[in-house]
Amino acid sequence: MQQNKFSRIFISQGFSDFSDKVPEVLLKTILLPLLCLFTSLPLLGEDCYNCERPQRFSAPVVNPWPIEYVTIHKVPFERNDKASFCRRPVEMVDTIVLHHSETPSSTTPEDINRLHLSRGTPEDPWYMIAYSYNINSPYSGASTPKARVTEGRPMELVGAHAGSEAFVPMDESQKKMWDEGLITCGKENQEFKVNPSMIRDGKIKANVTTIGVVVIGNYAPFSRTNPNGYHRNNPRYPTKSTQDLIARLSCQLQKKHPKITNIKWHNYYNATSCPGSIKEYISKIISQTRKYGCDFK
Amino acid sequence: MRFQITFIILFVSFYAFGVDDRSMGELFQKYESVMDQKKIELIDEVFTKKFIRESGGKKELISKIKSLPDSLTQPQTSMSWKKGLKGDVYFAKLKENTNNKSSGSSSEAEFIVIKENGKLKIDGTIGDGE
Repeated sequence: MQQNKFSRIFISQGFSDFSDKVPEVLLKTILLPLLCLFTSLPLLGEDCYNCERPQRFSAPVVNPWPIEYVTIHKVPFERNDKASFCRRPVEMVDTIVLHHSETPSSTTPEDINRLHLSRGTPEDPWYMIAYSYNINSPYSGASTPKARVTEGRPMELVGAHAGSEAFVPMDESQKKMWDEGLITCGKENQEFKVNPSMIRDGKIKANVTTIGVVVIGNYAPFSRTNPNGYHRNNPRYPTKSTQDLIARLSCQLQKKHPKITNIKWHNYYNATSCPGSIKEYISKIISQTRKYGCDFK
Repeated sequence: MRFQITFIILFVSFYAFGVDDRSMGELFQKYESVMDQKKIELIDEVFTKKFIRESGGKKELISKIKSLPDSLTQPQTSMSWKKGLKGDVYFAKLKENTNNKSSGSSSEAEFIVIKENGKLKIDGTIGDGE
């Protein structure tokens, strides 16, 4: 039997007997299409919020996510090597703090990084974007921006989002990590040291035990101090898709870091309008995480 | 002589290109006129084109401004500002001197101010953090 290009594929994979026995027409019209269909089925699920599907058949990666509820994009962020920042074991983190950016929903994490690099003072500049994860998601009735989660400041670096004057109690394991001097501050290429100002009255800065997740957009009403806000006659709420995206990200973080068991919001720590109407949906978001097998308080 | 010329150039440059308390104060005086007294004719002098576009257009912005309570109920504000560390951007902090935290709005806001056609204008706000 003359070998065609399809049977050559099978021969190269050790199926020479198979190609001899199965008629060429059957191979071309039924078996190969069926094979293609079954191998592509796992890629057709609705578990991905953007077009870049997870690379399920690629080579193993170091420290993979245990479950991928949402694709987390990584972009290179500029950092200020003259700025101080603090390191922590990721096991210190027990809480996700939700924010809104107060910017238009089209703002990119790179835009926020540029603005954050401009903040601070010449003596005490910001190191990089303050949030650990950034969620772009369209407002109700809008088709842009494309829903997308982008990693911001790495989780092993203390963020700058909950408020520098917010302090929270530590549990035993967090206290142990503090006592062992595992939370240290410094500048790139310099020695990192324990900074006693991280502790006040036995409590630790909230930024140390939390990560900031920002929903990019403005979910508070228009006012003198919020000219980017929504029209009072047309309130803006996070859409079901946005709530689901927050739930998926939160659950994914909990699956990888089981100590993360709380979801809070910015004005839980500080008198601020952030995160606007998103706060009203926290309980719904927590319920949504249960559908993915997670448990948040 | 060389020193004098340098001084004159610096002096002229400051007034031509620099940002001082006066120009920032004027911007926020206009801003409060727009928001409190509904002087909507000043919108183009206060906000950048990008800001107006992202607010849904001038008509929508005017509608939002008109939906605010009248000026008699507005609290006093204080403003401070600083130049951003990168690029030609300024951050102005507007603080309402009130204890009333109703209506879900913040009593403090950080504005992004840039120059558009050589004039300071509000380009947006940014969430507080640290």
